[in-house]
Amino acid sequence: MNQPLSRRDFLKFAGFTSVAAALWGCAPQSPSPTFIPIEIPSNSEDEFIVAALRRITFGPLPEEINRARQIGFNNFVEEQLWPQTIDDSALAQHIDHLTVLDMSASELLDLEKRLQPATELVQATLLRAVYSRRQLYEIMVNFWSDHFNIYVLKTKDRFLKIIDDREVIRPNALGNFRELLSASMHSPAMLIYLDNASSTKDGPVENYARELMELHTLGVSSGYSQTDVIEVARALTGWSVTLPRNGGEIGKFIFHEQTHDNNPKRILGVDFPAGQGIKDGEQLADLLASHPATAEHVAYKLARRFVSDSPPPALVSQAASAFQASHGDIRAVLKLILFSDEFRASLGMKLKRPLEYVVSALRQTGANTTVNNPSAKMLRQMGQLPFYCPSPNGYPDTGTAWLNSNDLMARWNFALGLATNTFSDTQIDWEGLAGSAEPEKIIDTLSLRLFGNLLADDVRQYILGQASDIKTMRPAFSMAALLLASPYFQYR
Amino acid sequence: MKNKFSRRDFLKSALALPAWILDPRIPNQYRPRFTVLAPKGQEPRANIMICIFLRGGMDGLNVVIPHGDADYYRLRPTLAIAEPDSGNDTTGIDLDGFFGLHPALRPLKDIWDDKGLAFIHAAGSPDPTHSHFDAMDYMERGTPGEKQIPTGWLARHLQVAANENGSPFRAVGFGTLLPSSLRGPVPALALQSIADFHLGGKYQGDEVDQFQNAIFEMYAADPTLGSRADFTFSAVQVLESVVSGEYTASHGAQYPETEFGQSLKQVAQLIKAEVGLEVATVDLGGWDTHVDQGSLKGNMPALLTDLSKSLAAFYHDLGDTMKRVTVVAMSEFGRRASENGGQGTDHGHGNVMLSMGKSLNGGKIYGQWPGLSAEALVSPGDLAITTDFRSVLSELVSKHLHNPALEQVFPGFTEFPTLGLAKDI
Repeated sequence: MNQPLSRRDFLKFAGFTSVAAALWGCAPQSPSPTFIPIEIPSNSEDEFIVAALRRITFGPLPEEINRARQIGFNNFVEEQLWPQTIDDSALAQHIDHLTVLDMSASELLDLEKRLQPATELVQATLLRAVYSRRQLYEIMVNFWSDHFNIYVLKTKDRFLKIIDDREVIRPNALGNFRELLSASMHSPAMLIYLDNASSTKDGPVENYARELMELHTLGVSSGYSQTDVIEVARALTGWSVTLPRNGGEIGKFIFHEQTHDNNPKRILGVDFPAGQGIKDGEQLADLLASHPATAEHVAYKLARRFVSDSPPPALVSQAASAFQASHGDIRAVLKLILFSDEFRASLGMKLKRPLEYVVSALRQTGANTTVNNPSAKMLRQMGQLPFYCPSPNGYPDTGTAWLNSNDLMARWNFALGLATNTFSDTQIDWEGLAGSAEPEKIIDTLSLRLFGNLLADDVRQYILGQASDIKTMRPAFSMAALLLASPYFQYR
Repeated sequence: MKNKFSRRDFLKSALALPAWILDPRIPNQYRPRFTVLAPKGQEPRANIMICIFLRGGMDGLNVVIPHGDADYYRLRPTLAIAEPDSGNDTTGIDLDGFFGLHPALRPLKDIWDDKGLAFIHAAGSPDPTHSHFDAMDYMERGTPGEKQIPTGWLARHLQVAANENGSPFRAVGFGTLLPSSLRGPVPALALQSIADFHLGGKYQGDEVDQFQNAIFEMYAADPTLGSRADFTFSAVQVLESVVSGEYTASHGAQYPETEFGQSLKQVAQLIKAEVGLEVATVDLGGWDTHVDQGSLKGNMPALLTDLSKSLAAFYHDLGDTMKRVTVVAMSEFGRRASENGGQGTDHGHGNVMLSMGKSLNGGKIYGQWPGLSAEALVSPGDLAITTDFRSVLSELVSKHLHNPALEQVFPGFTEFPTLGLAKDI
């Protein structure tokens, strides 16, 4: 017979403190100095904090849990919303060896290895997710990178996406939506990716115009027409990119007055007078950014990211109102969502996407990794290597989209690879992390590390039993494999 | 505490008869008539359908070119493929005096001559959306303009076809995400690489079996993930027992080293291994050619080369097995009849569909050609649709897959198939 394991209560909850004290005795063996222990939650607010941090970070470190317990969840969120106030010096040593991140377009274009910019950008993104202390910021960078998706292998985007990441997404990820939108509209990488760079008054190209409304702002069912698509395309004719054949500096935004359609336009019922030139685009950005359908669309996607695959309509509506009232202040919308009762009620029930799974495993185990191959290759096998989504809607943001046999198998193999230190780019000091040779202590230390809490008794006993059965591996390794591969670690 | 289930048990649960067999509400006509997962070579077996989705909106006018329509050349000054000129590989390859193949489809010409290939022109989904994502979704769910039905058309087919088949390989979607055509109550396997589909990956210590048992047991208790994990292990079990070693294609067929080519090769491998495959989906993306589409060389011709070489390899590899395998290829919409200023084409409407197999009345182009004159085009300048894609699919579902329950596969659709594309057998 199978064990009567039950996912919903795989963790211990408040009221078990006497058992916990007994487990740890008076003097728990000190873990190795590199690993800071996580205290067992002593009340329901502590439990909420670890669960909430598993949602708003890529997997919380002990330092982050301790900080949130010290200053409270709301203050922790406030701090995370102003990333420059958070010391991130520890990240530097991990990404300093990457050379392309600060390069100009022409320097990038001159690189001998054509794929170096794309490869290093992926690596930088994964390393920041793992090692940055500005976690909510990195989550939002990931969110907007999906929202304003650019496929890094599309022609010149193999080097221009670096600049989009650096100058469009990262500076605006927690800023104002209108400014983010405008930056994206001016982004050479985006203008290449969605073909606007080739759009002229004599032959407008509709690709960017359509996705700008469908994906970036209004949403598909908001009522714009094919005529609106064509009118938006006309408004953006001449918005292009300097390329070698144009002479001058490469890979910069340029407005070609002579290929811009200067006739009057009518978009979503609003008149765009003749002869506005580049101001057509500014009027368009204002119109789209302030449209109620945009507020609704962005609010829905944020609520889906932070609360549920099917976010509660009332919460979406409140978040949309916050978006409107603040004129697109991303921080204001996030606060409304993260401080809501719906957020609290949803914790632990959202499936991790492959990226979240891989990064949380690396992060919470204190892995020493360059997130090069084979780790990145595993993420690619799961189907979610950053910037490798060819279609403009970005990677899906629901668990059901990913929940399939290919993904599960790759996750289990990632867990086994990590636990056995099989990946040449990644090493984990499992014995240091476990801090003990006693299985009963190891399982509790690992549970606290991965879940911020102790396991329910039946689950704990089950894993202890399985680990003692696997005689060829030391318990720290086999327990790590089981916990990382378990269904419990698939949720956040 | 440590009661292990044996590996045999996996297999048993995977192959158990599904519950509907005993369900008295299922009418007789939908009851099983085929034994799909039977010992090798045992007849009759269910026929197989391979659905290829060409994502991004393929420009059908440059795939099967209407060289007999002067408007085609008027609308496409730089992109049009020249009229057929036998012996010249920079022109169209004539099919019937009016239509011709893009020269990159040369590998398919033998199959056309063999009557194993048919096209349906001016076909597609009647909903006017020009959004990729809505159009794909409508087509894959088989419900144009209707967002309330959450299941896919292939999933509904499997649900009501009721073949006696509990194999985890009944429906396989190649790639990292399952397409919405396979979303439904019959589980479908997402598969990328047969070679990588086993527990352990790079790590192959003796403990892998023990981990497999433990993972299985832990997942069994999870209401969301449990059935998926169970299903995944069942598939591993079947693969281990029937698919082994390197796969060598038959009849000298050579698959391109592309993702698409290698996916079709693995489909062929599964078919030959007789693991109970009934439907498979394979994607080929990159057709959203707004700029620099390429006429004879470039982006779209490269895709056509991949498509034609892969399909030809598949056809020749499977040989006479193609009598019970039908391939159908579709794209969410066609592209604008006139080219734009970027040597590309914007989103359009009507398109060409392709079908391949040895139980087709091939060597023929089906559908009525609406023409490309200004009056014939539909807003904002697109090829009209004269054949609903569901007519094509429902004919294949009823005649090739022997499933008469079309009203359940395509709810709300009433244009019963009259094309004559599939042979009556």
